[in-house]
Amino acid sequence: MKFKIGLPIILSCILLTGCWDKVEIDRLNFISSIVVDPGQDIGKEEELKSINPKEPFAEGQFKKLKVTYGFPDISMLGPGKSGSSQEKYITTDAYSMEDASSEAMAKSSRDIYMGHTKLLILSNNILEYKDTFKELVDYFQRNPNINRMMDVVVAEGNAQDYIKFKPITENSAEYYISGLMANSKRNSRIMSINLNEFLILLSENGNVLLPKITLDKEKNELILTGAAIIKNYELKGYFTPLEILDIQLLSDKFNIGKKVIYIDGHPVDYIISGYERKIRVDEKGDKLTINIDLDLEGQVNGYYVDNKLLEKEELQNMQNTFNKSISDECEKIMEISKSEFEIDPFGIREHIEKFKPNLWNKISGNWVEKYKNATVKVNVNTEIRRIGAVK
Amino acid sequence: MEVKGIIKDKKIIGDFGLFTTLVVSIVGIGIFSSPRDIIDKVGSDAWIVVLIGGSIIFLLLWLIYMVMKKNDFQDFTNILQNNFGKIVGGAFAIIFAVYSIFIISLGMREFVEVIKLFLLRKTPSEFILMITILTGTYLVRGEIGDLVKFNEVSFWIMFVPAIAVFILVAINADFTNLLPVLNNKPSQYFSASKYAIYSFGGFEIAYLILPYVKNKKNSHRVLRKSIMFVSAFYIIVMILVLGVFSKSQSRILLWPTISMIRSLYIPGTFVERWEGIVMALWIFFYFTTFVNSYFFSSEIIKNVFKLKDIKLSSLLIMPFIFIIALYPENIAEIYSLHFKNTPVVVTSIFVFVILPILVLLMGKVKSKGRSKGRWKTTNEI
Repeated sequence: MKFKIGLPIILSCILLTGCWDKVEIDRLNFISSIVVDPGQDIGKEEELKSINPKEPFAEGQFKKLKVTYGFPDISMLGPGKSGSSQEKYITTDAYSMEDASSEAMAKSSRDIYMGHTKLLILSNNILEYKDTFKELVDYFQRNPNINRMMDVVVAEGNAQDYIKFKPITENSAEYYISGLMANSKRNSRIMSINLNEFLILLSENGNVLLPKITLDKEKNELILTGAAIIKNYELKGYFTPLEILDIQLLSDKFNIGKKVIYIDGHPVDYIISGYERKIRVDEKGDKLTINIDLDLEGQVNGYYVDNKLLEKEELQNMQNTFNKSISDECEKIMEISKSEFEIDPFGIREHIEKFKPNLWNKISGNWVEKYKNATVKVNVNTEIRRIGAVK
Repeated sequence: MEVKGIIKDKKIIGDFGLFTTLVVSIVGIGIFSSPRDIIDKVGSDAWIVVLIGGSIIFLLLWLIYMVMKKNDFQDFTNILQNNFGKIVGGAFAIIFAVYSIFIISLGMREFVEVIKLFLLRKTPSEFILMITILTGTYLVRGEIGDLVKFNEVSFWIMFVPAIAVFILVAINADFTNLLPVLNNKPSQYFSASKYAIYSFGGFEIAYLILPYVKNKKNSHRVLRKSIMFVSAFYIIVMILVLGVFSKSQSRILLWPTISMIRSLYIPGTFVERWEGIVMALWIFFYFTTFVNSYFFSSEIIKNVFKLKDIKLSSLLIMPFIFIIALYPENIAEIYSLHFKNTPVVVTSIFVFVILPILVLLMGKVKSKGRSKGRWKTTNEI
């Protein structure tokens, strides 16, 4: 009986307190893209170091970042209304990402929700400030409410302009860029990376390639123009889209792509559809030799009306030409990234660590030096399996 | 006394009940955090450490089985009191109960922190704590049969979705991250296996459950099976965490297993971010551990103080769980209390290693004495 009297009291404690985490869906701003630009005080990194940690009112003195949040206008969606909605933006000046989100909340009537974010655009200017970039990375790593599957791109110049760009094929720049990224599966000239992979690579060895987008204001075009090279949280330089294709070939991330050679002035397009990569690393003397074997398989998709391809020798010659051309190209790329940028996007280091632990234990101390001076050999074996529907 | 006798005669638990009770008690909050600690120490060899941990736990479990077998599968408090006398045995039993309560309370706090970080951001910790404890208490107030039935049901709720999620996670995992194999110093395996062993905490439930098992001949086989199941499950988790995050990222994530589930991405599905549902299911992983240990501690307290029934002892324990769970000031203190606190470590060694060995030795001495006595009497006759 006592229990029966007590029960309502206990239940009222549980049921009548209200739900703390209740949020009405129309009270939320579903942030679809986050754009980070340097703020006006970004150059004061050194000055900031002189701030005493105990100083009161540390907030609000420096505006290091300019963060823009893009979100779809949900009121445009709903039954009877078709198509994707227009994007809206909130731009804030802040000293950190967390400050930016609280500023953004103060500027809008709704709560900020970042669980559905699809795209993170970093301005290339922000990558030049190592400390600020590290703060950014920590924020994205530490915050559990951020969607780790969002794409990350680097924008040349003012990143804010990119999100306001109106593409021809889509309603908003965010959809457009996400679509471009998704195309990387069908065209290896485009690379894509999501936040999760980005954070893993940064914690692994600090070498990351981020896809770079450029806005051509005269032509009103937004295009992917290669990749930004980040080493130790610092921007080192850029690769062109063609170089990316080679890098993807060398780093086992290749899907589908094409290569071209010129025979008698006519371009021969070779569509690569099957592909395998093998790495062999040996230490000869005190120099590393890196051998990469690429086995490519595919078909010729364009040549010249009068030239016939249905000859074994003819195809063999063509294969040899491709072998030579691709292998030279790849070796050149490796040489550039190894000596000039001192980065390893090919996973050579991981390969030694995983498959040659003894060698790794020996050389891990002066890996940078060893890698820089290593000799590289890329052996390519192309197979032209098909030549299309004519001879 | 009569009531006790009746319960004891009720050998109600089948082999499946024993198996699921052990499995759900062992798989607890450790599954969230232990990958971090273990991978931090040994990198890609984490799964080997789990294997080592599993073997050690198997030996300890076998020790428990031997203790129970030697003492005719009496209940835990009776065994201790018969072997060490009423007072010392009672004291040992209480140390055991206090240790269990302490560990599940720390686990409770960690569980609350996980829930607060990932699911309920604005709900006060005290409230989540209270609800979990009250729900647990409701279950503990039932008989052991209810608890085992609950375990049997939760087993499916826990592992069917978990394995489905793991298959989806495995699609995006890079299994070469598991290489190189055996590339650490033996001492590193040793220091890492500490964390692996802790993640197996909860296996002591065998003391509680074995007396009620119907078919005792089969029990040691079931115990072996359940440890193998849990080890396999943990190994899969380690392998997937390594595959998804690689060594260096797993090291810095506080709860790699949860982050792994959250980074689940299936291209082409129209339902996005369904890991909320999965997270809700994961509550079971802690809750079952909590309820079983809670029941066991209440049972010990009940028997030592000769209380009328478990409803009273569970109410007595309830505030302690609440207070201990609120004691750590922050997330760092939970881990330092759990792993770096000498009294806790010493008590755990005493409870799981020394105590069963002592019981076995005492049993030997006693049975020797008894058989000698019996032999004398038969001789005299």
